[in-house]
Formats: sequence, C-alpha cells, structure tokens
Amino acid sequence: MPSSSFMLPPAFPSSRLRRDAALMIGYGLLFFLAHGVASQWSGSYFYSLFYPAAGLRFALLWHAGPRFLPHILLAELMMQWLSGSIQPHYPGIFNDLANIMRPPVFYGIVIALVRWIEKRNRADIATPPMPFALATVLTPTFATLAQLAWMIVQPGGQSLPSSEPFATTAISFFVGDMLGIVLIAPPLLLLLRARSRSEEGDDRLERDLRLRHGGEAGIVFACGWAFAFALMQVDPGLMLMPIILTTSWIGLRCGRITAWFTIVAIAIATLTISQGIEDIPTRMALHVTLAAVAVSGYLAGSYAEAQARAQQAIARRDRMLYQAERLKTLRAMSVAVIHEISQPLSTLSIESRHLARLAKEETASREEIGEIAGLLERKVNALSDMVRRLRRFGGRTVDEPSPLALAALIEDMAAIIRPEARNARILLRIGPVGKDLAVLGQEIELVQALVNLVRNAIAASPGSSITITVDRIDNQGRVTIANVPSPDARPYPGMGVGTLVARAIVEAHGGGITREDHDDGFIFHHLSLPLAETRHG
Amino acid sequence: MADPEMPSPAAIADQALVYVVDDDCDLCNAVSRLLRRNGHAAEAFLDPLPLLDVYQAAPAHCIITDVMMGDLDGFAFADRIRAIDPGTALIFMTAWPTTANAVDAVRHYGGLDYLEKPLDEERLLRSVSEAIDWSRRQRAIAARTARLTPREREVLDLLLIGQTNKMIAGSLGLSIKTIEDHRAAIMAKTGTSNLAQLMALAKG
Repeated sequence: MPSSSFMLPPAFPSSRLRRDAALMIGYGLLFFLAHGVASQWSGSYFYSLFYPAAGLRFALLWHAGPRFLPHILLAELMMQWLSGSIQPHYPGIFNDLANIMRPPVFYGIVIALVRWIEKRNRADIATPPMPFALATVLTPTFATLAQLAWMIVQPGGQSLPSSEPFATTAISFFVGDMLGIVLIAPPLLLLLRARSRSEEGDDRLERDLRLRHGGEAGIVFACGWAFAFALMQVDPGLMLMPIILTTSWIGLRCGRITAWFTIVAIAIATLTISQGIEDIPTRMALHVTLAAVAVSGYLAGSYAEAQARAQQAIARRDRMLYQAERLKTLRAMSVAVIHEISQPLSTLSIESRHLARLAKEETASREEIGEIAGLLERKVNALSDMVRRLRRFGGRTVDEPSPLALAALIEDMAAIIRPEARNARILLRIGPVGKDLAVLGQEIELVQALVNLVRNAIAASPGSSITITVDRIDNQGRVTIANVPSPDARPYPGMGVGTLVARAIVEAHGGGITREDHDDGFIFHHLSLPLAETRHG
Repeated sequence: MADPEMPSPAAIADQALVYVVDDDCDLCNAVSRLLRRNGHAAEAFLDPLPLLDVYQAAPAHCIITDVMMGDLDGFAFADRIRAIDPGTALIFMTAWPTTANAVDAVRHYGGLDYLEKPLDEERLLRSVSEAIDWSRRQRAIAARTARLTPREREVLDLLLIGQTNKMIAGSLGLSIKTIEDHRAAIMAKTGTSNLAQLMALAKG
C-alpha cells in the first residue's frame, strides 16, 4: 500500500535508534559487571586470565555487525570512566584511551573480515559454523598482536619484548580474551538467535549429532578427567593436557554445543582450582592449556557440524538428482504415450466410423459388428493401461515398499523405454521372466533404476540390439542387460548421473549393480536384488 | 446396394493395388479394410521384409508405410522399393512427426504425402487416390518409352528440358544429323508427331 510505505521511513530510524540505545546501555552494564568479575583471576603485569567482557563484546559485534562498533566504544569508554580507569587530567590519558579502544576496534575489523570471507567464499572453511569458530580464534589473536605492537612502539614504554612483564601481559591478554569469548559468546548468541528463530534446522542437526554419540562422549570425558587428576599430582600446570584430546574428540563426535558444555565444565573446574594456586607460572600454564582446550574443542565441534551440514546438503542434492531423473523418465514416458496412444486412436477412429456406417445399414453382418466391437474394447483397455501406468509413475513422490513381481517391473520398464529404443533403431530382446520371482521394494524407484541402465545401453549401442534376461542366483533375482557398444556411438551426453541414481536405488534395496566386459565386445550389467519370500517358495 | 468388400470381377481387374505396412497389427488391418471398403485391393503387411520378397511378382500402385518400425524403418524400406519399382507411389505415416522427417520423406524418399497418426481418414483416402493416379501415369509413360534405346532415352530427357537438336548434339558429342535420326525414332516408337505431344506424354 502506498500509504504504509510512506509511513514506514520516519518510524523506522526512531525504533532502530531506541533499540540501539537500549542495546548500548545493556551492553555497558553487563560489560561493567563482567570486567569486575574478571579481577578474580588477576595478577601482576596483567589484569585477568579470564576476561568474560571480551565474550560480550564479541557476541554483540557478531550479532549486530561491525556497524555497532561506535556504540561499543562509547559504552566501554563510559564504563571505564565511571569505574575510574580513565582520569581526564592524567598525563597519560591518550595512552589509556588507546588501550581501551584498541581491542574493540580490532574485534570489529576481524569480524568484518570473517563475515566478508563467509559471504564470498564457497570453501569448506566458509561453511557455517566454521566462520564463527575461526572468528573466536582470530579476534583475540589479532587483538593481542596489536597490543604487542603497541607495547613496542608506545611513547614512554617501559617493558622490552624479551622481558617477563612483556610476555606475561601479552599471553594473559590472549588467554583471558580467548576464554572469555569461547565461554560467553556461544550461549549469548544462542539466546539472541532463539529470539529471531532463524536457524531452527541447525538446532535439529546439532541435537541429532549430540544424541547419536552422547554415551561415547560421557565415557571419553570420564577417562580424560581420570588422566587429568593423575597428572595433577605430578604438575597441576599439565593436568589439562589429556583434556585437550578429550574435548577435541567430543567436539568431533557430538558437535559444537556439546563441545561448549564440555568446555564450560572444564573451565569451571579449572578456574576454581586456579583461584587457589599462588604460583603465577603454574596458574598461567593452566589457563594457557584451558585456552587450548577451549579452542581445539570448539573448532572440532564446529568442524563436525559444518561437515554434517555439508552431508545434509549433499543428501538434499541427491534427492533433487533423483527427482530430475524421474522427470526425465516421465518425459520419455510422455513421448511413449503420445506414440503409443496415436496407434490405437487411429484404429479406433477408422473402426468406430465404420461401425457408425454399419449401424445405418439393414444388411450389416452381426459377426462383423461383433468383431469391430471386440477390437474397440481391446484398444480402449490398452489405452486405459497406459494412462494408469503414467498416473502411477507421475502421481506419487514416494511409494511404500511392497512385494513386486520382477516380470511386472521389466514390463513397465519396457513400456517406458521401447520408443527410445525404436528411435535409436535398437531391437529390445526380453527373455522370459519367472512368475515366482518377486522382490520387496519401491516400484517406481526400481523401474527407474532399470530404465536408467537400459537407457545407457541404448546410448552406447545405436543401431544394434539389447538383450535383457532375468534369472535367479540363490536368493537373489538378477536382471542382466547385455549390449555391444558401437564404435560409432556419439560420446555419451550425460554425466553418469543415471548410473549413480540406479546404483543408489538398488543399494538402498539391499542389492547391487556389477559390470562384466567380455572379450567378444559384449558388456553385461547385472542388477541383483534380494528375492522376497513367496508363499510358493 | 453392392457390398464394398466384394467388388465385381470387372471392378477387380480395374482395382488399384495398395500395400499397407505397419508393425501395429490392428492399425494395419484397419487401414487395409478401410481401403478395401473404398474400392481398392489392399493387403496388410506387419513387416516390410516379406513384402520385399514378393513385391516383384505383384507390384503395387501405392504403398502406405509407417516410418518407425523394427528391423527396417520406413525410409530404408522406401529406398529398397524405389530400386525395384520407380512407378509406385509412397505415402508415409508416423506417430511421431517431425519437420525434418517430413521434408526427408518428400525430398529424399519420393513420398507423395506424410500423414500424422491418429490418421485423418478423408486425407488418407484422398492421398491414396492421388497416389494411384500418379502411379498409373508413371506406368503409362514407362510403357510407352519402354522400347526406346538408352541413347534415345538420353535424347528424350534433353528434349524434355527444352534443349535444341544443336545443343543436344553438342552435349552428347554427336552430329546434328544423328540427333535428328534419334528424334524421328522416338516419335515413331511413342506414336507422337511433334514436341508438344512428346511433352504431354512425359507429363502423363
């Protein structure tokens, strides 16, 4: 409506401004709290070995986009000023301001870069949730590198790259931010995502992954901690080494969310233990390993999820391919029906007009009228059969498995393929099929598989003949398609999708397709299917 | 009213012979019966190969053939029939008509018509009548020119495309006198007295 489109623009910016302002104030308050909590893990030369405020910042930038960077900068500056970290009359005010503004700026740059790659790249690394996982690693890394560079070039810098304070500050900054991001950002983003409900399918995927390997994850987790406690007796700094393997394993097998819960459990235990450790190098080692646990576990979980998602996409494409094949067959069937229908229609037309003329004659032979009526009935039945077959093939998308006579499957396949064979001047020879041979399966799919194989043979052998025979080998029914490929055959225009689809269908029915090349030039394709139990044995 | 299926002996002698070739048994018989009811002597063949075997003994005025058949398709069959009998008329019928096939049927295989299935009965009967007339004319020409020598036939062909005695002598490498002799022989053998009658004979 024109009126509503004129109404929208003035309303839109004000609601967005209100929302941004609320988000900024909320962020500022939460940042203040998280910043305060972080001081629990502080030490000399560094503020904290666990910095949850970094997770908050990361989540907001990831969710709202780098356009929210100015709001974040403003909120963080306000909070630091209110907490007394910035003093306007202090001579080093610019250095302090740079220290406060640098991490959010680099977070914004890295997230913008990852989002850009995600949009343009089709590689597996750009498959969700890999970009998010990469960003969780890259943001603290680049922010730390920027801090290192600043420490070297800053006016009046007191520490040297080779000194202990320099290394301690850099490592603690990296570890604190990394832990903050990995532990805090995923649940925050899940909460935000739940509000928008945009990725329900992904949640289902994650749940499937989790449920499938939940027991295994529990055992691996318990074993990992058993080793960890044993190591703690030797050196508390090394206790988390086996946990790296455990978390990666759980991530790979159960996906991102399970990996995150595992990481949180490990982090709670580790952070509690580390609070009681006085020795700074030990505490530092523990936190560095915890960061390694978090990164490897979360990356592994994300990778597993990306892989599952890619497999889902492949399965979806397989289904589309199957549908495309079916459409191709349906088209061939339509051609067949047009061809087959025009024959009986010609007969019906000629004979029915003759019948109409006979009806007007008093001397008409009753015998002749009877013969014509019989012929008409036969033709009408043939047409009805054809219509039923077309409706069966085109009407349903999925049919239920049922016992199927191989003879009927072969007959259906022949009805579809015969016009194509005739066009290619190929003689189709079909051997006798035992009436007791039956398989359990989906009728349309199996006819499709047979059609695809014979169609390939037609493409390879124009102007010759194709022989189709059916026999029984133990408890398997075997359809053999034999042809001699012609050297004059044009290069096959397809991509081999027909064979792939046929193989997938037959394998899903517990059978298989094999190929035999004989010296006399004959190629045999054997399609085997397990025979269904029949009452007659 | 006379039974159309049982014509009189005089009519039988005058009847044109039509062969119907189609691998659909019912359609083949239906078309043959239709033609018989319309006064033609029609025979149905499900396979063109047996017809080729017996054709020379009973050449037809017209052959109606399907295009797509098993071992030998309609066009290949037409080629073989033309080699045996250039005087028979061919009508093609098909359930899967294409423009390329229609053009080929007329240009390359000498078809008089290309009919789509389901068949239009009136058009079929009209085409068959035209085909029989065409075939009869061809046979009349063939009968009248049967006694010409190969050289006389060559001269006749050039006369019919409008060449003068001098031009024909030039193209065949003969003297004008020889061409005049051949021309006189052609007139005598075909019972014509001038070029106009010769042209009329060639058109049937």
